[in-house]
Amino acid sequence: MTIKKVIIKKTNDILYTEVLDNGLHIFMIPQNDINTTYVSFTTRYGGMHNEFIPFGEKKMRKVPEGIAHFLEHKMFEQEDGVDPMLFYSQNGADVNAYTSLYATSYHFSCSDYLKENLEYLLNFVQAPYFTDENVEKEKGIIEEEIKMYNDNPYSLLGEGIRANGFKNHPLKHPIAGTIDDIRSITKENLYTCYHTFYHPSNMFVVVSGKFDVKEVLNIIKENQSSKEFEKNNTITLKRFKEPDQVVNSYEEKQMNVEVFKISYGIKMPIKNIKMEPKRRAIYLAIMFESLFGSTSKFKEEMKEKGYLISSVSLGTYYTDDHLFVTISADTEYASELLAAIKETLNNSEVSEEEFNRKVKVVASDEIYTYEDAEYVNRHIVDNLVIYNKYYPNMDDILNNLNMDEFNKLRKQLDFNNTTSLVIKPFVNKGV
Amino acid sequence: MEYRYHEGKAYNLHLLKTKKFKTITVLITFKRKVKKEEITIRSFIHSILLLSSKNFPSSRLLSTEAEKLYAPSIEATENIVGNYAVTSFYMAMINDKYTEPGTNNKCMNFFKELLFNPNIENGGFNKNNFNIIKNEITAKLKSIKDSPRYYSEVRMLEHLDPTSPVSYRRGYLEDLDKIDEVKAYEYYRGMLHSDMVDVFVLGDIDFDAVRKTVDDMIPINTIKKQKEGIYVKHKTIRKRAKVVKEEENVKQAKLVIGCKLNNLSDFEIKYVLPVYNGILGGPSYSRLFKSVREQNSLAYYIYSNYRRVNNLLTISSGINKESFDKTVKLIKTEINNMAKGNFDESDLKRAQQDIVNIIKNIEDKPYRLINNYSWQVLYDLDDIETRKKRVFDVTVDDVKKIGKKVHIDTIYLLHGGDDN
Repeated sequence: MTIKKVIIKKTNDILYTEVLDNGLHIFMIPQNDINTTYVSFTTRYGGMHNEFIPFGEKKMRKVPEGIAHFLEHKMFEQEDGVDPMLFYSQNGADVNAYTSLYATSYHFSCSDYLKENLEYLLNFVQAPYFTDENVEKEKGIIEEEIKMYNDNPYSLLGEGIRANGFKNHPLKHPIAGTIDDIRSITKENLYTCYHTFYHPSNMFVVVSGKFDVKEVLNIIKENQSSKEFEKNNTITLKRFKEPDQVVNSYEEKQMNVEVFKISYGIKMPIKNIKMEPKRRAIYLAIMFESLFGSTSKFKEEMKEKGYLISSVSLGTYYTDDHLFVTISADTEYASELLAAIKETLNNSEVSEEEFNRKVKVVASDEIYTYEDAEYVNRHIVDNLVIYNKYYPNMDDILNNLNMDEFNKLRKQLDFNNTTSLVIKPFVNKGV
Repeated sequence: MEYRYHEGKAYNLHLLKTKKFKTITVLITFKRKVKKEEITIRSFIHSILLLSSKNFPSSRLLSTEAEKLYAPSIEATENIVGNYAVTSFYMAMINDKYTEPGTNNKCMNFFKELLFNPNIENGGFNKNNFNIIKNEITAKLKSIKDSPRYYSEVRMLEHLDPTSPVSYRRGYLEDLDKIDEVKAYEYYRGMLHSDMVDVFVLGDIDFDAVRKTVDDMIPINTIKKQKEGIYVKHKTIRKRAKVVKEEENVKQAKLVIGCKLNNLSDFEIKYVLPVYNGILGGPSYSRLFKSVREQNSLAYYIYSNYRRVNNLLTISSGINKESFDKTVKLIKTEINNMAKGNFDESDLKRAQQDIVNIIKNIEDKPYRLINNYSWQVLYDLDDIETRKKRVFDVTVDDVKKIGKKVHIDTIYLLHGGDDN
């Protein structure tokens, strides 16, 4: 158990990492010329983890959709009746949490009382208190939250395109579940999920901004050694057999919108691509940015023709077997725009000049990241969730990217297995 | 941080030197008194300038050039702030000691090119580019209902007072056809001529060098003076709140309550109002959050917001349509409790601490810090250090007193009708 230190060459920041005996990983990156400390406490458990062997059991079990998000809400209920939100606001801190498909994260920021606030974070996330009554109460609140998402065309667009892409994999479900799903959640299955996924060995703490490394480490160590945990337990998640084909190649939905929204999803098998996922992700980002981003021919042409009236937003989702990239935009010419996206992918070549320029942009983004301690924290969390690893010196990867490897990867990817979703106004304007 | 201010005839320059950041951020604001009939044409200017320029005549060429300069982040916004229309241009660039010496000057030149060397043809903006922006603005104005939460706030303000700048939209579809590339260019030239301009530069900078760079950059030499105050005053205060319910195809009903603020003193506007708002419905564990969400499970979100320059406080929540009466009653109870002083000393302390934290957080991020300085100028606020101290001068009595000046004016509900 020793502390590891890595210098971030580009900015001279230092990343400290340590693993405690109970398996909890700690990542610290101090930036002491600012006022605020940012702390996050994350479990690798998110909206898509709904079939698994529960802790202490032997058989695979399915729990209701939306339970990770429900659990996140319920962690804010404590046995002493004090709401963590209230505790934090009285201690000069701002607390919040989010659930993604892949993880649940609890985080706060403060400029004073770091010790109290940090201990409280570890304590409230490690002290579940679910009762029939408090579980029922939360259902009303989450129902309103789900209705709010259902009124948001972009959130429906994201959920809809995933549902069209995946047949079996739980990526097809909305993170918060449906109203029917959450009605079936009980305190028992909340505890089951909690005990399976909230073990320290499945979690990590990230601290950034203003703090003293030794002090923070001691606070965490003392806190953790005063608690008892079950022995490390390997989590067994269900492996889904997912076909390479999308479920639906085209779908239209009507909604209370005035302008059409489209999303184009490309489902690519990646089992046969042998490349470090981070490296693959950088290549893919360069490719899709070049093809659809601000410097692309596509964007220029579509804007001039009037087919594109927003920027293009790109999304990436991954499973063990597939990569799912989404391209979304606002338009008055849904079918024309979809056809143009398809055509652009048919000729996905990127010039060497463009490739090198984009690499330089990725390198610049890295510096912008370290400018903002709050963003650094999120950046580390995201990398740990996706790659199970943090890359403090991206230049080590960027400096040996090359066109040949890029082109080889590009040719290995199959862009033909696609699905489209069009959200259109109620008044029939014709697509 | 060291602050230097140069008052000029054509523009004012604010220089902020700190070693805290790895970037240098530049903000240039243009402002003038808002006129409803100018809002739509004005909304073209910031977008069209960032789309192309004389030397980089398409958005693709322009973006490519930016990437070559280590991708400075360039953005622009158009806002109505009280009685003024404010256009802001931002550029954040990496301090070139982290990249390549000379890049910062190149970025400044590039920024100058965008703002002051537009892509002009036949006495107007390039027609193609004009049309691209027109399409985008049309779509934006048409799709205002895509966000029910935003739309309900807009509608509430229109019911509150359709003649006041507080209710102006970001543009009007019916004005679009009156605008062409020539008129837009004329409007732009008018901005250079008559708008009041402030320039802010933040980062590890050399005062004299930056002053000279900015002087070379800004080709404005007209003299102007701010005549009218930015704060909006309400003409009338309703004795009984107006209740309006409108129907749209939404699943969750949106409740928005507008409260007019009357006769606030300088101290109340600057210090008591944020504290009042923090206790009632502010960012953390507020009275409204506790009552409406935690105790009664009526909503996922409920918060209050103050718009200082508009003398307005608004309360927003997403609820079930059937819970309208109950929710409004709970909100009214909380507003009455504020005026009676029925809240805890700890609520006051919490709200004060929240405000200090928000200020401290502003200091940590270049974008927020530079905005803060522009607000200080716009709203005539005290500096950061003074604000951090004076917020603690606010007492329970101050909050009670301001509570009596909060008048519920409009209660608005956007709902999905009986089928939903």
